[in-house]
Amino acid sequence: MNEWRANLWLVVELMIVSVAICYLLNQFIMVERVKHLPNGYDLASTVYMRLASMPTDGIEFKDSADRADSYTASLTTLINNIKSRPGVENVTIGSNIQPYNYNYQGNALSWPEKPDSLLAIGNCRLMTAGGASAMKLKPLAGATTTEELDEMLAKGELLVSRSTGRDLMEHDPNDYYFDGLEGAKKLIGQQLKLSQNGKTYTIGAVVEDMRRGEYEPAYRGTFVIPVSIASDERYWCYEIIARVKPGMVNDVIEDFKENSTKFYQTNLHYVVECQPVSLLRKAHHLDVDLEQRNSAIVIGFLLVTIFLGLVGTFWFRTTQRVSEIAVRKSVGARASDIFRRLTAEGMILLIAGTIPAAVIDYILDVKLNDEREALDSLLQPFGADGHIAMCILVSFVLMAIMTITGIWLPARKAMKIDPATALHAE
Amino acid sequence: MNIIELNSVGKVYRTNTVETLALENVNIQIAKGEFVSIMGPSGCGKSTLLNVMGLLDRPSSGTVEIDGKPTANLSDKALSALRNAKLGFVFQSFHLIPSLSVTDNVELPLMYRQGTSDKERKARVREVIERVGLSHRMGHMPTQLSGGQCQRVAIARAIVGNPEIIFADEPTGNLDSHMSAEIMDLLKKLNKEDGRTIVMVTHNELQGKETDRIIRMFDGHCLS
Amino acid sequence: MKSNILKQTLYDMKRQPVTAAVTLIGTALAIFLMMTVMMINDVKTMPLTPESNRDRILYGMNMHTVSTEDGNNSNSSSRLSVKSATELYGDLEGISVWSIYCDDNNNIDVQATGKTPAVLFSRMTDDKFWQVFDHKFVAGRPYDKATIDAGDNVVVLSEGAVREVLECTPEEAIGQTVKVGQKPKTVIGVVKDNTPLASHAFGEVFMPIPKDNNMSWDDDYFGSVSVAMLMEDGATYDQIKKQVKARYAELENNMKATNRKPVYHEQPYDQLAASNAMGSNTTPDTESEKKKTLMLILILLLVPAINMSALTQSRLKHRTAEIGVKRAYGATKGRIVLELLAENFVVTLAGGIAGLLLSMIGAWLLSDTFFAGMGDPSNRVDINLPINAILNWKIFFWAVASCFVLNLLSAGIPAWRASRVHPVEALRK
Repeated sequence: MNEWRANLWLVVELMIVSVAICYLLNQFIMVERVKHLPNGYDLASTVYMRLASMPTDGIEFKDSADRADSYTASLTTLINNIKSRPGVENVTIGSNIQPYNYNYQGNALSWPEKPDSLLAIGNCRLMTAGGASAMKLKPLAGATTTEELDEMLAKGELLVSRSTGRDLMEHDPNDYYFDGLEGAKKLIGQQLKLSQNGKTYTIGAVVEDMRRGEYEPAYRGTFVIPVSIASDERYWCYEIIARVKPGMVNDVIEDFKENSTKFYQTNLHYVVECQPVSLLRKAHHLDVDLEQRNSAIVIGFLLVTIFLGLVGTFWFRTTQRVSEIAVRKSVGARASDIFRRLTAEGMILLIAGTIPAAVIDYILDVKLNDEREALDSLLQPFGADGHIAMCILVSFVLMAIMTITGIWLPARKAMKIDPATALHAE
Repeated sequence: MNIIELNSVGKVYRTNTVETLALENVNIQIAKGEFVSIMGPSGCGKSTLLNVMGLLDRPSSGTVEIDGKPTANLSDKALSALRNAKLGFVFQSFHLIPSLSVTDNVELPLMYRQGTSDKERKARVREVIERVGLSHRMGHMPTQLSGGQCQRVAIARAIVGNPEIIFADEPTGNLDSHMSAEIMDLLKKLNKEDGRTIVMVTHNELQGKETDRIIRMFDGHCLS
Repeated sequence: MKSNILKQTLYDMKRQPVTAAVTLIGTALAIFLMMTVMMINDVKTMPLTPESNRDRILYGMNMHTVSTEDGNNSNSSSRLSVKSATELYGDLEGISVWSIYCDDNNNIDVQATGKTPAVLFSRMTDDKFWQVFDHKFVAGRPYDKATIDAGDNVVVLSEGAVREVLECTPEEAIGQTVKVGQKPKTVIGVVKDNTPLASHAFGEVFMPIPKDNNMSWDDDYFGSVSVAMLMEDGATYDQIKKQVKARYAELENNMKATNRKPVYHEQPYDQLAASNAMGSNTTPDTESEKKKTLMLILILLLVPAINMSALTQSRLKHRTAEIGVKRAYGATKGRIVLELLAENFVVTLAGGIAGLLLSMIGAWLLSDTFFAGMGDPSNRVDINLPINAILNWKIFFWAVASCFVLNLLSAGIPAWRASRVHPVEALRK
């Protein structure tokens, strides 16, 4: 009777832990899954520089044309200077191009003659030619290399991303995993108007979505908008991304520290800061990374607790049942038989705990998914359909490992007991 | 005046399948200061009778009066208080608490009593340990004592609260004859010198004869 | 009695070292994790210099407007302008002092002549900022109204900033000129290094908001500033909120001509709401955050509790005879439960103290990891954890309280069941 009750406790515990682990795993895996979605840039070996204007107190411009020319010349000099620094391969200057932040410059493309006909909405990333190579944008259709993409940017052509095509296809507006490539392809070669500046662009190619960091799916597609230093668009641009030869990121940073006034500054512009993009990436992902880490710690803690509980309970139980084990041994049971028996017992308990847990997991998952859709929270990826089964399986396997280890320790001790001693002790 | 009075007491144990009659229509009166022994074959209901008298078990029918007071309607709390104030117990297997020293074991009943100061308790404990002749073993643990010594500690524990009645369930059952005699002497002393009422269950005919009266049991009935 | 409980506990532990170890380690781990969760949670609201008055400071942080035209669902949101800040939060009743300042830290380049520039966290503030928040000046003084009105180019640096940029002592720094954003400014004060956990007041470079500057990007209601207000003694949050709500109604009236209206979002925020504010166009959701933490704490308590409960149950089976004796000698059921709980509490408390110490040491030594990203996502500046974030009565109280609950959960039912065992049954063996 007492044993039965102790077993019930254990089953309840296994159930609660199973639910907790499954819940945490569910969150954990969902986030990891988003992390591995395709992303339209590769910034592993790049440097980010932030640009600022010099105080113009002492400078006098003849007229607005002079002012514009001066700024164009200043930027051109600066970019050429940076390009010529050792280790630097490609440089682009733009706006909203450093993707590791939650900035969103939303804009719409429409037919020029029908401004109300919204074709697609996307996050604008403005960059000068060279940006495709500097950020290693990934062409999907209409071009095959980053060089081709850069040529398009130089010609003033606009690039759209995979997900911008969703708006041209039948789809559930809440499905942020929907592949819009086919829709996006239809835009290639079209002349479309951008609502932001009213300019009409030719669509050059389709590229992969440039997501805002790695923990967020592409809620919107991306518009890569060509910028010319000679146009007024330069006033928007204060971000520089430079591609650097592998392994030379730190050299460029050092070079900036040493020569900031020499090569990174003109009479009108200066580079305020210069840091590896990898650092920005790390900072941007920090909160999610920490949450992932904490989830892992809590899962670990729960597993250890289970492990301790099982060791304790089975230890106690085997010491209670020394005589039973001794009798079994005396009638010829081998050590492995006894171990198998104990393990089977543990597994039955675990399965008894997992079955109700699975039901709770499923309900919880459905409920949480509803909540997520209701909130439409920007940071919470969803679309977990089906993988709850995997989470249940994984938590079962994890707990099974703990259970077997937890049983094995005391069982090994019990199996070593000499039957005669055991029976005598009783 | 009777300190214990049982009127047509019956006790039935029920499990899912079996109903066992442990006591049937038992009527017993025990006077204050009497030393009574209960004898009979195994399973005749001796221990059940002792438990009912000692308020550890409630009868299925009939009444139990202690010191003229009926106990049937008392709550668990009131019964506990009554046991604490008036009754002392000695068991065959001593039932000393293994984690506590001799002193702490003896002090136990006083712990469950309100209004005794620490000093009073300590003095009282010392007194009764001296009484059972174990002053040299005060700090020892139960495992360091012989069986006879253990039982003497148990007796000290039984009298520390100054109870009027002591129930002893085969107090010498686990002891050799020499130690048994010592324990019997001690119980007799408590009866004669302190005037405590003692009810003892025993298998030993000689011990029975040393007491004032023998109640003989058979199959749940009192024979005398 | 107390000594008996200790003796009993020690005896039990000696007799069953494995279960004792399991109980101790389990408790220590549970309390360790719980206290860590609590500390990380606590620093969001507890008083931390220079935000020592967190329980009295209210924040008016954002401005959010929506169109009143049919079919136009455009909405704009951002920080306030000086104008909207003053209109909404200026001179409220029950507020002793209020400050207009930039709540967002900006990266700015600071350079001393002939030295390498450093990029530091900067903030623009008014003169009253120094009254709402209690930065400690180690040299010089804060800028006052006269300085700002005179249009002096002054700057207040943190000790760390002085070390990094000027490479001198705080006293030597006073009066020196540094280029901030390439503009020359005179250092007039140096404050003690402060913790980024105090995210509203933290900074390395402080500069005055120039006189008559609306700090606005649309020359109207939107801009880059927020308001921090210090409540008078006796004033209530609700009382302030009511006034602000009325001001919002007024503002809505004033904005009619522009076909837009402001969205209130329950401002001003107290410390808790401010720490949960996400973006300028939402109302902080303190409830769901609380629920999440509560769930986590519940799991962290419940699982080890059940785990240990099974062990306690088995352990008490060994002690039925003893419980029988105690019952025979007059212990009530309630008394037995209390004794068993007290014994178990000793073990729980021992494990709990170990766990608490572990979490305190961990938080102190690894504060940069523990509190990573809070206030400074780039993790550049030292967390400068104030000691009271770890050593305070609240933490201690919660640790003991958690032990208590853990004890009740893990030993409550087994003790109750043990006390119900019939004394005759218990003494039979």
